[in-house]
Amino acid sequence: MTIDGALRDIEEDADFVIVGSGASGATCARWLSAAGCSVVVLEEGAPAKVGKGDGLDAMSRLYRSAGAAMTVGKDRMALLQGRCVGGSTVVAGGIQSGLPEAVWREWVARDARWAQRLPWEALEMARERMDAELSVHKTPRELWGETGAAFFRALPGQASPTWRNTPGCQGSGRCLQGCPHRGKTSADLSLLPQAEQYGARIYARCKVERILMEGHVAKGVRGRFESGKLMTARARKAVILATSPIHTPWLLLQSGLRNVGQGWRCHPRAVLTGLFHKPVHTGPAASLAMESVVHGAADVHLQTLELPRSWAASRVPGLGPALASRLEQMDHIAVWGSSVRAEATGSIRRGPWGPRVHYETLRKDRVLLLKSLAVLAEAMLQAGAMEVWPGIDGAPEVVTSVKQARELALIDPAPGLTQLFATDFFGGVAVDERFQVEGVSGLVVADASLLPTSTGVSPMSTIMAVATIVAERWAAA
Amino acid sequence: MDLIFGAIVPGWKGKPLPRALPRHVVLALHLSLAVLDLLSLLRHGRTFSLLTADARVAVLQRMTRHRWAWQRHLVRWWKLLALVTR
Repeated sequence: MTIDGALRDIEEDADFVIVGSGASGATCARWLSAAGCSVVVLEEGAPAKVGKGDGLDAMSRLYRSAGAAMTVGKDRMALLQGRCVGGSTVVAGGIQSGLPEAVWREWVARDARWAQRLPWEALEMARERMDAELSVHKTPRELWGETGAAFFRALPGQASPTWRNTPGCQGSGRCLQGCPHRGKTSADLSLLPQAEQYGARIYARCKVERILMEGHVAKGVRGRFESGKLMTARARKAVILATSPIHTPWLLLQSGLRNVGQGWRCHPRAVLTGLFHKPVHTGPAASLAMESVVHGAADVHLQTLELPRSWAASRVPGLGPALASRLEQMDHIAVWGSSVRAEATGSIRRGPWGPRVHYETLRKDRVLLLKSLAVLAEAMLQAGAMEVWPGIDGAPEVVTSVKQARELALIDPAPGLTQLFATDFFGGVAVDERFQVEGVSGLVVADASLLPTSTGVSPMSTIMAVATIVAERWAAA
Repeated sequence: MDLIFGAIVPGWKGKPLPRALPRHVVLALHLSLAVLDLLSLLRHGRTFSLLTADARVAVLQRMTRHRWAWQRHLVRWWKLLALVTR
């Protein structure tokens, strides 16, 4: 059972100290403890309490900074991350997409050592193993909902149901606030309880502040519970960092390391809202039921988003009486989103209250995003929307024709042109052949910080596959 | 906060902020509300609370079209908070 905080200072000794209990931390804990290693997991957030309120309450309990974290730069992109036991696996849509082989080849082309670090066959085997572990399956027809069905009709031959780890999905459309039916095999319900059965000890509400080093060897970590009590966890074999590509580089910077935090990447996302003739929220629907992924010269990912009413309402244009009149039609409103595999890179720096993410999309990224939104707007109109509300500066507030939809692609792509957010982060730390931070022995990175580029698809599956490989190598070491 | 959220969503009835809301977010929210008073003073010569309902919406509308992204972002954030706290 997860140890929820502490009322006294605690000292721990284990083979592996894992910082973070999300996709990568939980996966490492699961496989290392099953291999007979002693494991301590430290999580900054609290145990996830789901199903108690949808609005700001859920955002406060489950998201970092209640979802208000932002990048520094002209884009002002929102950074959405889970902050609870289970991390982002609790608040993600459960999508498990395998890494495209073209992306892996790109990694190897950049640096041939990736072929040994993460061989393609090993990645595929690890992914299949995790898919079986988490009961990954294709979203069934009865959970597409009206929105998903409309998306499928509007993008024939391109749209397909998502693969998700939601065997108990009842179509409540509340994946992003933590499934109220516990129908998602998020880490707190699957990997972490298994790790505990094998003897792993999991501490919640414990923020790791520093890595304890002796020369160039990591010996453990020092953290502080919300109660103010100290946690000192010593690692006999390795400290494994699995806190995300935002907090892993930050923790390394806090611990005195240099040359980390550069080359940070993400998938910038934007959404469009459409007003349909008929109600689109009439039955059960998964939060992210349908997607269309385009790979090649430009990687674009289109998706349906089944959001809680209050969240979807924030996408409705207007203020005051104009907004109020539109909100009366909430049953007819659908939200679809687009994300792009941006080429821009940013950096993680130390700020007065934690990590600061400096990031600005490149013009070509914004052009690609606008093109994808134009495609999405046209598809929405073809699917039966009377109006599309793009929420893009320089665009009409209401788009009602295919011509207007296509013109969205021609807007001046200035920074901050639309409300951007990101949930997928990559890069920031260079590692050696054993996934150790370069120049530091016993300090292992197992999250997406070690990936050289973004994946172009939802990275959860890739993160878990990489963490499986990291765990297997260190268990065998 | 009631005035701003009420200007964004007419008829908004305030709920207390959740206890779990991090303190730095509460601080940022109150600071951002102070910014709105400052902008109202600059543009209308009065604080936000002394403006008419139409003028309040006008101040917020102007922010949504401002060339500086942080002003547009602030209104979006208030709008989200107003809607999720209804």
